[in-house]
Amino acid sequence: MNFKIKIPLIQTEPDDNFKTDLIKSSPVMINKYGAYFRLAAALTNLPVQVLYSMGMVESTGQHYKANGSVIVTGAEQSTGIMQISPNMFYEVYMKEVRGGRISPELMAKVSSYLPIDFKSKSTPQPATAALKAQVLKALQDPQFNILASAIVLRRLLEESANADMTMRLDKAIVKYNAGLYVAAAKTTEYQTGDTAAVIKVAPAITKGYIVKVVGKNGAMYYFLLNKIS
Amino acid sequence: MGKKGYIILAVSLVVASAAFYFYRKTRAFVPTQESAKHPIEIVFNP
Repeated sequence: MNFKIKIPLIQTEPDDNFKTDLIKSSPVMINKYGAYFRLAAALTNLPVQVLYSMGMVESTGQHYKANGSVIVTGAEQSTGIMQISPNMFYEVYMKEVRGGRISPELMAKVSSYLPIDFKSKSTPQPATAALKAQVLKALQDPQFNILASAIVLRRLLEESANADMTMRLDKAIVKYNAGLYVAAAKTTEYQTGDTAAVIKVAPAITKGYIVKVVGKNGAMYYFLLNKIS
Repeated sequence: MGKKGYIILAVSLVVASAAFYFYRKTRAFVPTQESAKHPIEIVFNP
């Protein structure tokens, strides 16, 4: 049985600046990193448009600052084009490995960037400062950054699925953007409500993010309408 | 069973159905080894 993602999830539209970014900046992002996005999508069984959309909202497709250093923001050290934090990737990937959900091909790819034995019971959770630094360094490579984000998104999307296998990209975005243990995810609105209800309880910064990805004329809408894959 | 019994049975069934519906609705999907392989279909309604 297939999972499903419905688009749009809400009729609200993002602001005009973001719509312009989609037209002007997404071709640049895809020209530069398209191969990485498509490989990550294939290895995690994700629609590539989900990754393109998140990349556009997180960083407008930019991995580097003007001075050539990798973009790292906030206390969580959200890194690069997908603004993925070392702690989030570490925790989710460990669950994925221990749950037997990572294919040998995907595991080999991750291990080539991050030679940590996630299966070993002696590998600590949460990560030590040294392990976190190792993940942070790996995330500075744009190919691994996109792959790490895809692994996290795949799990968050599955966790968001209803009994009928319909995934809720809006719910996955709340955790991706605001953290795995964000209070909003414990509310009835999040657990049983539609996208408008999820937006209502989401942190301020996440409200606009959801509309940009799953709204009418948002990123998913744009990539699907224009058959960009 | 008397009339009272039927009423109690009917009310119990309604309560149980509502509880099951709520449980299904709030229950998060648990990712499994198998579910990682399932493709994702996009239902696009422009």
